[in-house]
Amino acid sequence: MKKRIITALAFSFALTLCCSCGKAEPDSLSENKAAPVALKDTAGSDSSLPEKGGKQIKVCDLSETTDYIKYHTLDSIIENSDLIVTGEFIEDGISEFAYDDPENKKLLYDAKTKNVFRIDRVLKGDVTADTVTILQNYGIDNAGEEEKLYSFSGLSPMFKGSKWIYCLRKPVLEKDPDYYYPTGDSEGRYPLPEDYNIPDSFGFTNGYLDAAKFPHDVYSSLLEKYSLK
Amino acid sequence: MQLRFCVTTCMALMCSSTPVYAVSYGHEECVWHGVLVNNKQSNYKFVVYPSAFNSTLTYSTYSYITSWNNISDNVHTQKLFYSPDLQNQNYERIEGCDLGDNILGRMIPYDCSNQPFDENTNPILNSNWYRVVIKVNTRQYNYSNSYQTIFSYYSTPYCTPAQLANSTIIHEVGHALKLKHPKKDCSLFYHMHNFNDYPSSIMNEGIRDASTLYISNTITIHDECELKFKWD
Repeated sequence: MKKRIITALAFSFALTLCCSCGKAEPDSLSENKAAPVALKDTAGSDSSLPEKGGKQIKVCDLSETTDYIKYHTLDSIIENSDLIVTGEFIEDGISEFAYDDPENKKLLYDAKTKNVFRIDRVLKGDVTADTVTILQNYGIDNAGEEEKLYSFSGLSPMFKGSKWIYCLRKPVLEKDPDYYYPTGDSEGRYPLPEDYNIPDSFGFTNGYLDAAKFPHDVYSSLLEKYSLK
Repeated sequence: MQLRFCVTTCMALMCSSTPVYAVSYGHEECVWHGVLVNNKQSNYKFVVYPSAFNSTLTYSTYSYITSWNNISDNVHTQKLFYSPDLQNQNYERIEGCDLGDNILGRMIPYDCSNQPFDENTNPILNSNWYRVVIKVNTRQYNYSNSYQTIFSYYSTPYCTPAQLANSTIIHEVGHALKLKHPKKDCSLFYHMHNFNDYPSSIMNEGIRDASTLYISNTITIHDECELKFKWD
C-alpha cells in the first residue's frame, strides 16, 4: 500500500514537472533588456512592403491596440448606420496626422483620411447628392524616403477606382460634419461580390490587412439581405 | 498548455470541491509575451494628466486604474494625478485627446529607445515594452449647454456613460498589463461564461448591450485567469 502511494506521488510529481515545461517561462519583472525580443507572429499580419507606383510602402498596423465602437452583428451594424450604399472612390484620399509633439513628430496618436465616394446604389437612408465624403482612420505618410501607411483599423486605404459596400454613420460630436465614417470602422466596409477574396496590390484581402479578421458570416447575411449576390 | 490545464483542473476536482471555473488557467492566445520594463517590483504607476478629464471622465473614473489589484501577486497598479514633479519620471501616462467619433481609447507601447512602436503587429506586441501611454477620447460636443461625450453618446441600457468610461480605463490598463482582446473561438474557452463564442470579458471590444452581454463592464473570472496566467 505504502509503495503504491509513493509510486502515485512520484508519478504526479513527474507529470506536474512535465506539464510545467509546456508553459512559457515567466518573464522577469525587473529585467532591463537592451533590445525587445520578438516572438512568433500568430496573426500573420506582419508589416509588408507592397508597391505603389514603383515606390515601396511600409504597412504599419496599429489596430490591435486601438479600441473602437465595435458592432458584432449585421442587425446592430444596420441599426447604427445612417446610410448604406454601394459605389466607387473617385479620387485618392488626403491624410491628416495628429502628433503629441507636432515639431518632432514622435508620437503619432491619430491619422484620418477623407475621400469622395460616388454612390451607385442606396440600400438604406436618404441622400440627395450622388457623392458622399468618407473618413477612415488611417494615413499615408510620404514625407520620408519610405512611404508609410499607418492603419488604425486594419482596413485598406481608399484608392480611386476601388468599389465597395459601405455602412456609414454621421458623426454626432461635432457641428455640421461634412463626412461619414464606416459604422464600427472595420465592420462598415465590404467588397462587392465580384471582388470577394481577391487580394489587392497592397496585400489586403476583402479590405483587411489580416484576412482572417474578415467577418464572412456578417458579409453573407448582408449580401442576402440586400440581394447583392 | 491544454494538457497543463487538464491536469490542473482534474487534480483540483479530485482534491476539493472547487468549481472548474475558479481554477486558474489562461490562454496563450489572450496575452502578449514580454514585460513592461519600466515598472519596478511589479508596481505599475499610472499618471493621469489634466487633458484626460471631461464631463464623463472624472476623478472617480480613474479610481478604476487599481481594479487589477489583488488578483496576481505580481501585479499592483497605482494611480497618480499629474503634478510638475512627476513630469520627467518614466511612469505610464494616461492622457486625453480628440480621437474622433468612433474610438474610445488607444494604448501606445514604447521601445527601449523611448520611441513609440509605429506598428503593433504580434512580433512587436510580444516584445518587451519600456513604457506605455494610454490615450482616452475626450471629444465632447455642447448641445444646448449640455455636454455630450463619446461615453454618453454610446451608452446603452446595459452600460451607463460612467460605466463605459470606467470600463474603458480598466480595458486600456489591461492592455498595458499585456492582455489582448479575446478572439471569437468557442474551442478556445472551456468555461461556462461563453456567449456567442466569446468569453465574458472586459477585454472584449465594443459596448455591452442586450446582444453583447459577453462584453463585461467589470473584470470577470476569465480576465482574472488570464492575468494570473500571464504574471503568476
